[in-house]
Amino acid sequence: MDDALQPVGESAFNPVGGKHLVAFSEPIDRQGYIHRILDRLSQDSFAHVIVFASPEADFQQLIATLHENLGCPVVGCTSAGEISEVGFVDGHIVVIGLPRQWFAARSVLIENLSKTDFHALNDTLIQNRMALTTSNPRKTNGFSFLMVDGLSRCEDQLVSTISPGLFGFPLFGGSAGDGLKFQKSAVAYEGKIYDDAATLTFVVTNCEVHVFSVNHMMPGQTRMVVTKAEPNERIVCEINDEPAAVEYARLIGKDANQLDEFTFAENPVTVRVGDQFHVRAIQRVDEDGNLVFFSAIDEGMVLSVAQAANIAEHLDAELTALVNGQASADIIACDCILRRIEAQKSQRIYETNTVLKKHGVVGFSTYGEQIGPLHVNHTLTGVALFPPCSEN
Amino acid sequence: MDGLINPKDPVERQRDKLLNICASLMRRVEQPAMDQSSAFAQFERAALLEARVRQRTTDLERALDLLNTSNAELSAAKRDAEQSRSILKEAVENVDEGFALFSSEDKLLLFNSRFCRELGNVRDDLQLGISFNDYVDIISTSGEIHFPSGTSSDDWVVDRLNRHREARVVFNISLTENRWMQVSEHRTEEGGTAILQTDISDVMREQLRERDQLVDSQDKMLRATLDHLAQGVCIFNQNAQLAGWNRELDRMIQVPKRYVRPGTSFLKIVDLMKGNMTFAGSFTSAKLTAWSEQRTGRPPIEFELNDIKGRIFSVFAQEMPDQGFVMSFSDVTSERISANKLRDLNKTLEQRIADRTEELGAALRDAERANVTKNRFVAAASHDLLQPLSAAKLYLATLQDAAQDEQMTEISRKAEGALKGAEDIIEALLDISKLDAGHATFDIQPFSLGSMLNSLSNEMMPIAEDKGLDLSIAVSEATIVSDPMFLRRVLQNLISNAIKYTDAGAVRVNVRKDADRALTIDVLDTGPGIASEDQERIFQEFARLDDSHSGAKGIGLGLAIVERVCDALGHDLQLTSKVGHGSCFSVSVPQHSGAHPGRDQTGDIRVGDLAIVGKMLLLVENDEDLANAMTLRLERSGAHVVHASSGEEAIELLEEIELLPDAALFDYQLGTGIDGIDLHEFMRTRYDAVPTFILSADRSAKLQERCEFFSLPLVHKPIDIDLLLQALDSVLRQAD
Repeated sequence: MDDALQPVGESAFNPVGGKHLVAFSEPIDRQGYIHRILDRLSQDSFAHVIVFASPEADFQQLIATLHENLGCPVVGCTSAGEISEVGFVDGHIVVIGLPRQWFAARSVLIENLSKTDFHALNDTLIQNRMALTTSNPRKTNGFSFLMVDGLSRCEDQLVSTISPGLFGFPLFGGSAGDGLKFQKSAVAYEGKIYDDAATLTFVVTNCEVHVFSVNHMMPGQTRMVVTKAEPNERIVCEINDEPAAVEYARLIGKDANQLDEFTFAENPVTVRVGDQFHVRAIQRVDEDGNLVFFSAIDEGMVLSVAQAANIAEHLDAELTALVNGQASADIIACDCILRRIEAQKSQRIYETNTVLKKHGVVGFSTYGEQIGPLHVNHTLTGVALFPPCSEN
Repeated sequence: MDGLINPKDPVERQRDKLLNICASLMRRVEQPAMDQSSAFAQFERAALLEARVRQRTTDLERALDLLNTSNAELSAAKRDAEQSRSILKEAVENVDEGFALFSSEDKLLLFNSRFCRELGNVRDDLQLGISFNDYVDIISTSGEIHFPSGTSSDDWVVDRLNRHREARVVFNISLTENRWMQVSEHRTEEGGTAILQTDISDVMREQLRERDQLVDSQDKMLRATLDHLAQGVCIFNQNAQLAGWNRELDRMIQVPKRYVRPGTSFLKIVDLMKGNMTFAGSFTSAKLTAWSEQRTGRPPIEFELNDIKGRIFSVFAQEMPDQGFVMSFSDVTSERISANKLRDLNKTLEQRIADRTEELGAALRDAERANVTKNRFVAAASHDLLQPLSAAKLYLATLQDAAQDEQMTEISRKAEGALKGAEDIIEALLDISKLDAGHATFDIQPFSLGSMLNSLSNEMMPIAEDKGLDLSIAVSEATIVSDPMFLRRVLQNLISNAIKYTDAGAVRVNVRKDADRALTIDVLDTGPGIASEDQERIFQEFARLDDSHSGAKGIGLGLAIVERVCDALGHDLQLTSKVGHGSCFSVSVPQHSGAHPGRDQTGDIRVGDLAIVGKMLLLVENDEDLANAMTLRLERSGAHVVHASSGEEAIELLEEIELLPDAALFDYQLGTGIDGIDLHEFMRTRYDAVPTFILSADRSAKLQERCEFFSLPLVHKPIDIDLLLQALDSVLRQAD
């Protein structure tokens, strides 16, 4: 995907970001990458390990090996691309270790997303959360990190149901991806991988925690009305009483036959809720000329074609404001795959990588992002960790 | 909205589309609330909820921030305050003096451990919060304060509280056992009071000791100074008791030693002194005791005492600022003796001066008498001589007529010449005696020098021609101021002398302009000249240089007259001469300031030119001399003057002559009678208006105003006759 940035070998073991997380990446095109990861992780004592794996990797093998050999829980997911210490990469494993010194964590597996009654889940979540805070009274800050199967189409219901039970643990997360193939994505829990599932990790820490979301889209003037849809499948069949793809193409001035992920990345649509605008990202055009979305849609919904700000400059400004002059922040980010595509299409990939590197961002490219009770698209959502106040 | 419709669609299709869009929107809007279990509905609810939560969170965070900021500021302020308080406490404790601070409500806020330490046990009663009054009560009853005599502790409290009302006071408090405390009170900016107590016992004791030493040494110096004086000095205090005296006094006053001690009353001392001393002049012991008993406001007095040994003392007594007094005795015996001697000597000298003055006066009187006698003799002799001369001339004339032959005629002509010479001499002598006696009267006036020189030329030319001399007299246009008659005599004498003493050559009379307003008339000759040693002598009577001329001409009285006249007229007379080169006599005369109208060339009035000529003037003047002089001058101008010496007399005169004058001159002050203005008014009402001048020496504004009121011209005395004549002239011209 990105010719300019290739894996950089041994140097990938060098920790990135601040001093509280241990984060590194390992290219999978070299033999023994799993063992190298294991070696690296063995050097420290971790409360939890999180991995973001290229869909090309042997995710099953990786998870099983780490689970067997590490004395701490390991969670992870497949990605639509990785964000390493040098920016956007492909074919890598990004590893994040939460040192015990600063962190404690508990993860919960949520299976069978399409069938589960999420309300029953809240009990489990609250118990886990309480257990974590009770056993770590001195780690007073916390957050929840969700990884969810990006092809489950259940993120909206999941986060809106569980978020009320996450008091004190602001939620962020990303939908696991499959490159740009949209066939199979998975999450990992206790040495196994699952689809149609999610992992929710509660983290407590001495560090200062700031959960955030960056959205560089502004609503435009061109609007449309969804006149026919299959909400459960996130499929919009008709827009303005016309076949959805044809009408969308007409409104953005394109030929309906030429619509692809780049078109969608460049011309996202937003829906207004209250006074906020949320991107409803289009995944693909199906064989019937319908538009398949990355997030919930409904009939009667009014969509407007969004205008994008300069993605690199906007990101730099947002992160600079977030860091607010504090040195040594660690940032874990879930970045929409469409943003990466947009950056490439608009020739801003280099600047964007520079910004990510500058701010010490690690993470992965998603099929969707979760922030609080919301499942959204076309954002960069994450957590920033700052040195504990007592250290200052 | 345009985007909703594809313009390429047929209208029907467009309508259908819109209908379907509307239907979708309506469905969505009208979706029952219960049925909103769809994924998007959940998203929507979550989003709205999230927005609200975010807003609340933001608000809460802001509130928390504010709270934190406030808390931080509060605790910082609290920390500062506590720090300040502890610093203040420490600082106050470090002050070497006692320090206390009262609030603006006069409550004790803080005090250090030295505060009131000198005041015994009062510190046990000092509590934070007590009032200033309590504090003063506590220290006033401490028993440690030494109240000034006659002051109770209550008085002291009142005084202390009064001082407290002032913004800033510093005072000393005397404590028992000869201790002192300086208290300074300052009002703070907030109205509180800071009190500083300083133990100044050491300083005060030192000061007192120094003062005692100073007093002691001053006393010694005073003693030494008094003993050093040559005068006797004694000092009495305000109760008129002897307080101090010096050794000299002991020697002077005859008072037994046992009484000369402090405390002896002044009256006792006066009493003792009376036995052997007496007051000189009108001063008495009663006066002295009365003075001493005056107690205050005594003026300084001075008197003299004589003692039985014949010594004289001058005594001076003066009050002192404390109502005591000091007396000083000076032995003036020797001064008095010297003064008496001096007075005697003075008297002798005065007598001698008086005697000598008497003698000189007598001598002067003799000299004056002799001079008068001489003058009278000369005058009488001249007069008596002129009578027989006249007779001799008459006889000689008869003899000439009867002469038969040449010889007789020649003899009689010579006799006539001799008689003429004698007559000239006698007239000259008369003139000289008049000038010497000061009886000569001069009539100084402006006149034409040219006409005088012309007439002299006519007179002298034949004589010069007789001697074969070249006489030339200058022509002049100048008007000069002098006495025409006497000046003519001067020039006549000088010219005739020049002719007389010049044997050959020329005689010149030149007129040259001198300095400012003066003319010099030079009479030059080519005669023998006069040696410088003779130049004084020639002006003496009967002095002549060349005897060869004596027989023929005069006896040398000419120059004596010239000198006397020039002297009397104030004309400068100069002689320049060199033996063998001739002589030059120069007379300087003042030139008249302007052309004078009423004068002819001989210095007399030019009759017929003036309006005054032939006019009748009434002059009323009670000063006879002035009246005569004016009459003379006015008549010389051609007027007829009728004179009266009072207003009444003038009226009588006018009634009598039944004529009105052409003009009138009235003196203002006419003795006891009516004044000049009244006289004018009387005449005006009785007869007719006559041009009238008021004459007066009174230059007051009152007279000026009165004259102006009656339109009378006022002529001030002394009278400028020329101005008066001009005024009269113009008035009379108008009347004509």
